[in-house]
Amino acid sequence: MKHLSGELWTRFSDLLVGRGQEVSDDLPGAELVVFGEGREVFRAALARHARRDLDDPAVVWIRPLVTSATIQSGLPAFDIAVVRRRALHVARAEIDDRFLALDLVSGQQARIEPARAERLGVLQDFDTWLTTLSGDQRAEMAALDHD
Amino acid sequence: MGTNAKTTHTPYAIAPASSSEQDEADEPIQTDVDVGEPPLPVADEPLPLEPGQLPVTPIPLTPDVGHAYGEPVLVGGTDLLASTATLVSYVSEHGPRTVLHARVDEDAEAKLLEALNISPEMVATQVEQQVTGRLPIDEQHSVAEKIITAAKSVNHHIANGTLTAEGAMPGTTAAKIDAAETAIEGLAADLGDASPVEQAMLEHYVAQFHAVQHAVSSGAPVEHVTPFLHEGTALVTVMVPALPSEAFGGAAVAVLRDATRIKPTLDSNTGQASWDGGRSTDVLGKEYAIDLGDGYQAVYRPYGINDPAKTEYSLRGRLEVIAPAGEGHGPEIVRRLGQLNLANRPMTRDEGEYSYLAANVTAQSLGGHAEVAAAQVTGDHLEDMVRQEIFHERAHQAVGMSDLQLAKFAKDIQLEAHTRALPAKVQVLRDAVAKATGFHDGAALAASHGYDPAPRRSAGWLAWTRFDVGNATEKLNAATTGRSLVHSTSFAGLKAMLATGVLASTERRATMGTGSGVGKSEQADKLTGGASSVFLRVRQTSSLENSPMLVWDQPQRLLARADYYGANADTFGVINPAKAGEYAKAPLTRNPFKIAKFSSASNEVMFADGIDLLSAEGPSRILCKNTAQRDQIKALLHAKGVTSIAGKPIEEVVTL
Repeated sequence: MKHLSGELWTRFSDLLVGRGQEVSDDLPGAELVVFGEGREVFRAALARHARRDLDDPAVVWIRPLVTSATIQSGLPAFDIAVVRRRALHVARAEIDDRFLALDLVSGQQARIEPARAERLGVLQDFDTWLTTLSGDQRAEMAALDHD
Repeated sequence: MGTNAKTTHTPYAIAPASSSEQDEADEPIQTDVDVGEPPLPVADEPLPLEPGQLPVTPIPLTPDVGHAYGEPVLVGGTDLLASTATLVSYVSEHGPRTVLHARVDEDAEAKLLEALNISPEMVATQVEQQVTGRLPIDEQHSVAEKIITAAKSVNHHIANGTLTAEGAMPGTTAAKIDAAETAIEGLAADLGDASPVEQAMLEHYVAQFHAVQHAVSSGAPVEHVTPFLHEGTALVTVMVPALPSEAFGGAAVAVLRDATRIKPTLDSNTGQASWDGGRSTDVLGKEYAIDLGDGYQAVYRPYGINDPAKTEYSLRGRLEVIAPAGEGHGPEIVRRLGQLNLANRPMTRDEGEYSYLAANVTAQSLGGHAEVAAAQVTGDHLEDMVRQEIFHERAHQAVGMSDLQLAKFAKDIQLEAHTRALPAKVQVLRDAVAKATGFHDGAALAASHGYDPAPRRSAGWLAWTRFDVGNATEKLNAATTGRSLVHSTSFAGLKAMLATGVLASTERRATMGTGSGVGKSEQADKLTGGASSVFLRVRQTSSLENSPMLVWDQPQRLLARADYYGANADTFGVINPAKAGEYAKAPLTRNPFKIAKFSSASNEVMFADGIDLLSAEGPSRILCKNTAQRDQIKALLHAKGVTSIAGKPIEEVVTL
């Protein structure tokens, strides 16, 4: 399977929005873990939006939340240039229990899994920041077509 | 220099290094001097200098006022990273406030700290400042936080189908709504006889809470929740270093404090940067506040006491020197580096050529060639030999010197050895690079069309070019035909970039105070994918749609730079080409011909620091989504006095 479609895309979307996960004070969501040559090289919470590239559906645009929030007026804030869009160029995908396992064209392996620990905290802050933005600003961000 | 720059330069400023003859502006340069030493030689008594000892870049008297990214100057020696300082003049009501921004090399930190007389305390003074923010009683009750928490929960359950207009509300959501309501009631009770501003705040939050309740009953998400912000004046306490009881002669008084960042404001239409002296305090780390006297101040964030795991990205080594308000402080602010034991003279052309060759060694991956590696070792050896020679000549002068005088004596010898050895070092490295790239010798390389050891200004920084690209222009033109480099953005983003005239990296924006912090050093370095670069993508020219986008239809204009790298796919966790060896499969490349063939939708090309959008590096096209956007962008550029970009009229540049 090269493209994320059908059941794979549904699982991916469910993980991003925390559908089916237990809800507590923190709203559930997903994190991305990337392995290169057998060791973890990247781990970050994922914003709750994603899209497949129009020209190449094997490329999935996502927004990893790579830094913690700064504080403005007492509320968390993010710099969109820092939490910029990134791409998963998928060579193979499969559902593995609670995870979505991906082989990337770069030779790296990735997993989309429920967000935990401090990544879950960053996701709550990102949700807070998004709630203070206008609908147009949120839609622009969710479109994932800006660098 | 930007298209619209109107810089006045010092009388001893010189023409660019590419100038073929020495004119009257080619004045002798100052060797490393301390503040208080005699001024520069007068113009009609020039000292004879070799061409290689002339400065590469002029130092402006007053950098273009209001340009957020300032003007770069190259400072001799290796005390500053990339030997570069950026001078920015911010608009203020008392006249331009000039600030020197630079990063100190870690090896130079010890001598900088030796220049400081550390004060154990700060003295508080109070000044009135304009402030915008939430009222203290608002923050005390966390009303905005609680309404946002409730709104988030409502929107989450609506999106997931677990909250509908007809259905029951989840328990966690109900609890959060109750908490928000309780906070509003508590706020109202504490306010009592509320002032008009407090009453407006209360009404603001009640309306926001009603919107959350309406979302629950209608099953439609909450649009957004905003905090109530108030503008007014407030007395702000400013801390200045107290003079230590045992002050020693000439040393700058410094005190350690929590790190800060200058806090300029940017006009969103004109891009003009203003600064009233205010500083942000939400910075992770520590810094020295340094009083240099005569109204000059400096702020330095040491490597030694800022743990990269706990401090803000690129904070370590960052230096600001701040001049008193007024015109004409450019040369003096650079001279003040001498008070911090840092080299304070302009970079010479010899030093410039050495940096140019070093940049090409990196860009063309020549470091692995045996002759290049040997040349770098030989260069260090040459400098050691010259240093020993000078020491033997002057050893007798050291008799009877104090510790302070001895330190300066040693520093002077080191700097002179560096300067004297440079011509030979340049020749050795040039010869080695020539052989590694197929030229007969250094002279043949230097005579080639693409060899240009003069830096190219790009906004507030300088970039070197690649001679391999300069010597293969037609081949690269052919390789990039039909391909464009693009940067997609929002319309708001496009306006903000064109207002300042710069597509700037996150690190540059944070350094200049025009962007927020980017998290901790280690975290950002590993995860952001290059906070010190801007990101472009290679696309088929024919595939570009009319959405806000900067487009370079001749990618070779940017690929002539020596400071980029690219990958034909997103490479998570691999951002620093110097560390690429740690990841054997990382497809990073600096080869412009490989970059020209990038085909993946997720390819990236990273350029260091950023791109000057209004200079010769500017885009071929600025795409807009519709005519309304196009007209706004044209009006913005006209208001800035910009009529063309990279030689093309803006009517042809700004298109759909």
